[in-house]
Amino acid sequence: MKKVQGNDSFQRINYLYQISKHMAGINPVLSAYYGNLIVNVAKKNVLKIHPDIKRQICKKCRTMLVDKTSGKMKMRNRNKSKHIEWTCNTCGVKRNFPANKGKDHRVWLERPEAVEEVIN
Amino acid sequence: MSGLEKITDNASVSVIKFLQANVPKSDLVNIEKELKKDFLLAKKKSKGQKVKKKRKKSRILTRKEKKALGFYAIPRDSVKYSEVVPLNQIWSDYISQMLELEKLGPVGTNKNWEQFTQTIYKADFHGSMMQVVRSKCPSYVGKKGICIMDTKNTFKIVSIDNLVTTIPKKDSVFELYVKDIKICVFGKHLCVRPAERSTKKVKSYLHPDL
Repeated sequence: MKKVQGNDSFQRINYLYQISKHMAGINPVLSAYYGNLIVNVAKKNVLKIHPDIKRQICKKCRTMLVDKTSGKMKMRNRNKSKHIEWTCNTCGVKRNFPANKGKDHRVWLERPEAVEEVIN
Repeated sequence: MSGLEKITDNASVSVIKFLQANVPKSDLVNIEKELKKDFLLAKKKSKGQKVKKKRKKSRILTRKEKKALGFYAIPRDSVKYSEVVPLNQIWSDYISQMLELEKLGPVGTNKNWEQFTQTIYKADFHGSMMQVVRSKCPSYVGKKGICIMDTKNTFKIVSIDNLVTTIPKKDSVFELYVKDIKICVFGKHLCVRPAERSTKKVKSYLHPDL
């Protein structure tokens, strides 16, 4: 069986992500602490956080963003292009993601052709 | 050309005389002034016009802002035990996956016992159910609860009566409860920051001193 490099750290990030998301609505301080830990673990082990997870962490205070509990999600129009705006309830920072109809905004990692091999 | 001292040496005097002879009358007054002017050379910087660097607006929270949001202090009664119970459930799933508890044989007989202990020390302890078994300070003994924070030298524990207690790692021995298995952990070995623990090498043997 092939082993994935940094598997235990990935598992750890996965676990921290779950508990950080759980604490997001209850205690933003702890959520930020776990979110901060995710970033630090990935930094120390030189691993990439999956973009799906990374987008949910607030860039400023590193709380996990969940709609209507720890953040607000809104569709906005600007210059005829749509984007999703996330607002963090803890620190008030705004973040935009483009979301145009008929356009593919996925990054390379999310596309199906990026998957080289699946190791269980 | 230095400005303040009077022009005395031979060459300069002759230059001035030449200028006075040839310059139109209206400019005669200005000769002295013009000669004293400083010219900007490449290496010399003018003193007055230091451009202030614009400070970039930082994208992460500063320490002050963090403190204002209350990120550093967790009050004693801020976390409820019922809120943390789900953490413990997720944790027990996580730890049994990490340690591969199903495959585990009886204590001490397993071949990769060494590796098992290594993974414990590299695992995450947030959300674990732990109890202090031994400690240098007797009042800590017997404290039981779910760990919510893990710093370099302390654990923060939420006990059943909704109180947050801070317990120093160095002089305590902990017991972890995973489903129906008890794991004894010396806090002395865990004195590393949680983010760094997975990369740091663990000494296989440390002298116990309790």
